[in-house]
Amino acid sequence: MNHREELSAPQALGEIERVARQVRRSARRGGVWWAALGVATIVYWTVMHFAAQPYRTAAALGWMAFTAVAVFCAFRMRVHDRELHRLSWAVTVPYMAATILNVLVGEYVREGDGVLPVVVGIAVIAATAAPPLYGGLRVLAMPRDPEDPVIRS
Amino acid sequence: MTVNGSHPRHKLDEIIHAPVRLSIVAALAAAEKADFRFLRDTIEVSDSLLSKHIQTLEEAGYVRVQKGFVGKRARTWLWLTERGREAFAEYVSVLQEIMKSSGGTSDAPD
Repeated sequence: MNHREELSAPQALGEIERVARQVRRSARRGGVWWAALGVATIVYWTVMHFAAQPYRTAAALGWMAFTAVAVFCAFRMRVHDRELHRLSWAVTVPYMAATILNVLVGEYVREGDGVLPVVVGIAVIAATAAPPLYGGLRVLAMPRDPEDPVIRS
Repeated sequence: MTVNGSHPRHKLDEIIHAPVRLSIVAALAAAEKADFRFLRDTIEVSDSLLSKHIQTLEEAGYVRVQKGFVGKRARTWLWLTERGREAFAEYVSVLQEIMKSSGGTSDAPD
């Protein structure tokens, strides 16, 4: 489109849809990152609670690598999704709280006897992974080509 | 020819209704915030042309600009203000009104 030409209404609406589609495609990466964080959280805490060495060391190294990649990707993000931004506190605060809970119950889950420590371990892992998985799936499930792609408040 | 007629096209916001500015506002409306280079690549314009139109939008109070650094690299973030979002919502509704009044088949410049 020439930047000097006159726009018709269909052209303007077409351009709005084209640009919005492109923005949302790029912004979806944030949703992918949250979903990946949810899956990585399940793997990490499952190994930390229920596996022995050397798997726990491997999980810790894997987590560090995952964090490094995540930070790198966050710095490279060139557009931020509105839904992702709206949900950020609702995902981050419960995730951090549940992570602290995992640390607190870690010893009990690892060294306790019977079924209860296993149930507690699984419950806190699920509680930790749920917020980023929910947020990620919400962002990824947002319609890409809705009837009105423009105004999402 | 009357300038202030009843046709809905007269209600189109002239600040937004220019090809490059429309693309900028549409991109920012779909995002929370966007990087200058992302906008440049998405809209496919030069840095100078993009800067010029951003300045117009900023002066109208539609866009906010924040400059910063990530390490040694300069980074410019842009987002729509509340006023910008309202103006864009109004602009889109006028476009839809025009489409309705023309039966949705208008190719002529409005």
